[in-house]
Order: sequence, then structure tokens, then C-alpha cells
Amino acid sequence: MDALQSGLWLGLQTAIEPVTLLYCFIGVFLGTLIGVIPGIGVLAAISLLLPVTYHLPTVPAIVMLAGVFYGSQYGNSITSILLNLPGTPSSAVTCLDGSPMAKNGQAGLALFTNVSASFMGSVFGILVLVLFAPAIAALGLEFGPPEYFAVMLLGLVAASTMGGGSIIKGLAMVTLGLLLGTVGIDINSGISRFSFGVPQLFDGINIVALAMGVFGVTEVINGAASKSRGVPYSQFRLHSLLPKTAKEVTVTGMPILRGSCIGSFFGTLPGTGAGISSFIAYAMEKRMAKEPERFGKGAVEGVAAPESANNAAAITAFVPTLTLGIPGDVVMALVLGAMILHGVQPGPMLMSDHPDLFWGLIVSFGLGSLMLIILNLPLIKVWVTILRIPFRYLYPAILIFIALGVYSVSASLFDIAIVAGVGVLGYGMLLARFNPAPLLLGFVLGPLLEENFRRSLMLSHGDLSTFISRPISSAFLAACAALLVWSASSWLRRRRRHAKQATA
Amino acid sequence: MHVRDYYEIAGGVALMAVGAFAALYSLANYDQGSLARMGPGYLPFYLGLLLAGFGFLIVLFAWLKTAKPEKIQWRSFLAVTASLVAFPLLLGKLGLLLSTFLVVLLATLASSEFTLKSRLLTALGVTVVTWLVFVVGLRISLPTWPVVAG
Repeated sequence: MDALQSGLWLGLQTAIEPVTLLYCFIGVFLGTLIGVIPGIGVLAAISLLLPVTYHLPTVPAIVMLAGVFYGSQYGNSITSILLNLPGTPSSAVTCLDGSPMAKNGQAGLALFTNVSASFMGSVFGILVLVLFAPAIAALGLEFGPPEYFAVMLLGLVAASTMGGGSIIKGLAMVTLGLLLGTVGIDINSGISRFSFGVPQLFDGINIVALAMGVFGVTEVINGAASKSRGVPYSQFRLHSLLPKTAKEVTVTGMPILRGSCIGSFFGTLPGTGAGISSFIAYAMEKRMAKEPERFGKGAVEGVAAPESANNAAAITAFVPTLTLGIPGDVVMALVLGAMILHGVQPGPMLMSDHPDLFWGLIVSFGLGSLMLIILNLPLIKVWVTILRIPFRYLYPAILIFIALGVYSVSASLFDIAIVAGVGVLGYGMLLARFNPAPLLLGFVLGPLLEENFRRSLMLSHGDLSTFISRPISSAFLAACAALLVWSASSWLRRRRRHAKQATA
Repeated sequence: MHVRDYYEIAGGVALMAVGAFAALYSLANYDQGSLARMGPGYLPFYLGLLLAGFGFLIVLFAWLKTAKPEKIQWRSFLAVTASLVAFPLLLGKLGLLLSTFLVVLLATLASSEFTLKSRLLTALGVTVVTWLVFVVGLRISLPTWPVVAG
């Protein structure tokens, strides 16, 4: 308990340093802003901010990126409730009941429930993180190269099978990402792979250019082409957001608790995150409800449960990243990438090597969540106003920021042209319905995966059974196999159903 | 309309090509080593093979089904790509402000909802914001004004 107390104390001291506090605020502010604006996602936003982190000390940099991530969950919900326009899978769930509530004249209550459920979910997620992270990190210290290899493989398989869409495409994207990750100098032999004599490629492909190209540019192309929609005019004042009766608050208590548990659990697993946990939380509420027919027509539980789940998951997603150095999804992969850029190696040693970062980040989650309450309740009018700005006035600025952001990392104009090239590829992938998220995850994990694979087999003198004879790694590999079999069979079932529909 | 999804087939073919190239290139140029002592070419070779295999499966399944292909947004695609290519070319000569203004004008061609006036105002607005963020704020190492040849 002493370690926990001193850790939290250190975290508090780190997090309330003015510069950290400032960037925490900038992070959650930008996160909400990005979340509110339909057409630009959290991945594009984090890619855009990666160059900025080069100019910052480590702790504020990571605190800011994290803030963008969990802040965007709040902003997404505002747009879902008021416009019925989901930006992410998890906010699509919020649309189901949030949007009917707004149409029934309960927009204020829906927004209040969103903020309170999100806040409680975050707090719950922070508790889970504080209680379990040290234990998982201790377990991680026992990991050898085979265990690391197996758990990373599980993460990659999970990310490519759970993302929706074809499993083969997901696996193909992971493989392509792994291959792109091999570009540059091989640390074991010193040989430069796939660089074709281009000096810019000796250090590997720039993660900033890759992420901005496949997420940022693609979103701009799509957003600029879409027609603008009108925003229903509605007037919000603080008092119209506050609940009128105590019952409006207490009725959401249990849904929030259940949603937080579900979100915290699925957030820690690799490959599953905010999206899946809010679907499960919603389905569970509907099943437990006395009158399930109210769902979809403006049930307040239908907003409370998924919102608490996705915010809890957004926090606990940091568990595998911070304790094992293994990102569960692409956002975490980008955060991990930023840590590596700053010379911090995430993993079981992070807590002891960089306690200020670990605990500072945790405390900043709490402070950031408090800031989000202020941003989302008294300042709701600001966001509603921003919602009215058509995307066409924003995307040219986004494009300029992408270009200058990449330039500021490398001071090379050539890299802007690279982003254009990656953007063309990214748009092609969109047309072929290839999901870029597993690609990026494979790209970030590739070098780590290769390193641990090589080391495992060096230690075992080329004996592949080392992965199966060690209990932890064999358990992870068994989970991989089970996941592949399960998703292949559910894909076959879907296909058969489609075939039946087509012939009927 | 449901037709064969040629984009998906093209994507699969591209993956096959990239995979086959990576496998052959690493076989020809990098030491393979053995399982116990892997050379730099070991993993890329197998990853290339794996990718080519997945590419083949994608082509196969795409061939067997019909789908509604995505519509290509040519106008937006060309305008956005051209802006990103033009920007680095202009930056070295015209400086940050003039380049930003011109590139934003080019980028506004992506959307059909602009009028001439709103195009110019957007370009002006973005240029001012860019100046504030990158010149005043981040002190980017690019000339602000056109560079006189010399």
C-alpha cells in the first residue's frame, strides 16, 4: 500500500506541474474538439499532434496525447446525441438512444448523462489501472522473449479479427505492416533492408508520415467530398443541462457501474476496446431492463451504460501498453510510438524506470476527466457552435497542418511528398475496403516482434517448440488459435446466411 | 448496383505483387541464416510469402462474390493530392504565407460547395492561422516570405 501511496503522491506532484497541467488541458480540449467535428477522427488528430510532441518534455507529451484520446470520447458523444452522426463505432451505440432523447426534447439530460457516465467510467478505469497495473507489470517481469512474442502475436491477431470486416484482409494488413516495419537498418546485422539506397529510409519509414497519410489525408479526401448537413438549432444553457429530479441521476447508477466493469475488462484485452465494450454494455442493459422495448426510443440507460463502458475502456487500454509495452489498438500504438521517440521503453520496467511518467499519467487521467466535466457542461454552447461550422472550411487548414507537421519533424520538404504518396495508397486501401488500423499496429509492433522471435529461437537453438513448452506463451498462442478458429467459423456462418438471402 | 468488386481484386493483386517482390528481393539480397541464427532476410522472406498468400486469398474470395464498389471521389482525391504535392514545391520559392494561400485555394477545389468569395476568405483565414501557429508559435524553419533568387 505504501508503494501505491508514494506512487500517487509522485504522480500528483508531476501532474500538477504547470506545463503538464497545461498540456493535459490542451489534450482534452483538442480531443473534445476533434470528437465534436464530424469527419476527423482521433487517429488523424493524434497523428497530427505527434510532431508537436517532439518539442515537448516526455511527460506533458504523453499526457497530451492520452488526453486527446479520452477527450475525443466525450466530443464524439455530443455529435452523436445532437446530430445522430457517429464518428466512431463506440459513439454509434450512443446514437441509438441519445439521438431519440434529443428528439424528445431531452437533449440536456442526454448530454448530462453522457458527461456523468463518462466521468464515472473514467474514474472506475483509473481505479482498475492503479490496482492491476503493478501486478501485471510484476508478471511481465517474468516474461522472456517467447512470452513477449506470443502476447504480441495475440494482440495482432485480435486486432485483425475483431476490427470487423474480412479476417483475411485484417491479417493481410497486419502482415503488410510487419513488412513495412522491417524497412531500415536491421539492428542485429547492421544491414539496411528495403531502403533501395534512399538515405531517408535508413531509419525506417517515418511513423508520422505513415499515420498522417493513411488516416489524415484519407479522411480529408472523404470529408471534402461529402455534402454538408444542416445542424438543428437548439439553445443550451447550463441550467437546462442539470437534472431536474434526483431520480434522473439515481436511475443511471447501476447501468454506469455495469458499463464501467464491462469497459474496464474489455479495455485491458488486446484488440478489443471502446467500440466493442460499448456494444456489449448496451446489449446487456437492454437484456436486464424491465421494459427492453424502451431502448432505441430514448432510454437514459442506453446512453449511460455504453458511455461509461467506452470511457473506462479508454483508460484501461493503457494497462497492457504501460505494463507490458504492448499496445492493444492503434491509438495505443501511436502513444507507444511517441514514448519510444522520447527514449522511453514501455514495458514492465516502466514503473520503476520512469515512475514520474507512469504515475503522472495516471493522475493526469483524473485531472483531465475533471477538466472535461467543465468543458462539457458549462461550455457546451461552444461545442454546439463549432458543430455548425461546415467541414469545407476546416479541411484546408487540416491539410496545411498535416504538411507542416510532417515538415517540422524532419525539416525535409521531401517528407510532405511522401505523405501525399501514402495518402494515395491510403485512399486506394479505402476503395478496396482494407482497414489501415491493423497495418499501423503491425508496423509499430513489427520490430519488437522480430526481435523477440529471433531472440527466442537463438536461446532455444532453433527449436520452435520453445513457444509451446513454456506455459504462458503456449496459453497466449492457444488464445490466438482459438480466436482465429472462432472468427473463421463466424465468418463462414455469415457468408452462408448471405448466400441464403441472395437465393431467397 | 452489385457487380464484381474490382477494387478489392486490384488490392489483392497489389498485395501479391508486394509480397512476392519482398520475398524474392530478400532472398536475393539478404542473408537468410538459420532458425537458430536468423539473418536479416529470414523474416522478410516469410512475411513476403505470407502476404502474397493472403493477397491470393483476397483475390479468390473477391472473385467469388459481388459487392457494391465504393465510389471514387475523383475531384476531391485529385485536389487534395495535388495540394500536398504542390505545397513542398512552392514552399522553397514563395515562402510560407504565399504558398499556404495558393495551396488552400487549390485544396478548396475538392469541395463543390465553395463560391469564389468563400474560397478567397478561407485561404486568407487559413493563412493567418498558419502564420500564428507555425511562424509566431512554433518558429518553423521555413522562409515566411518569397525567396529572392540569388
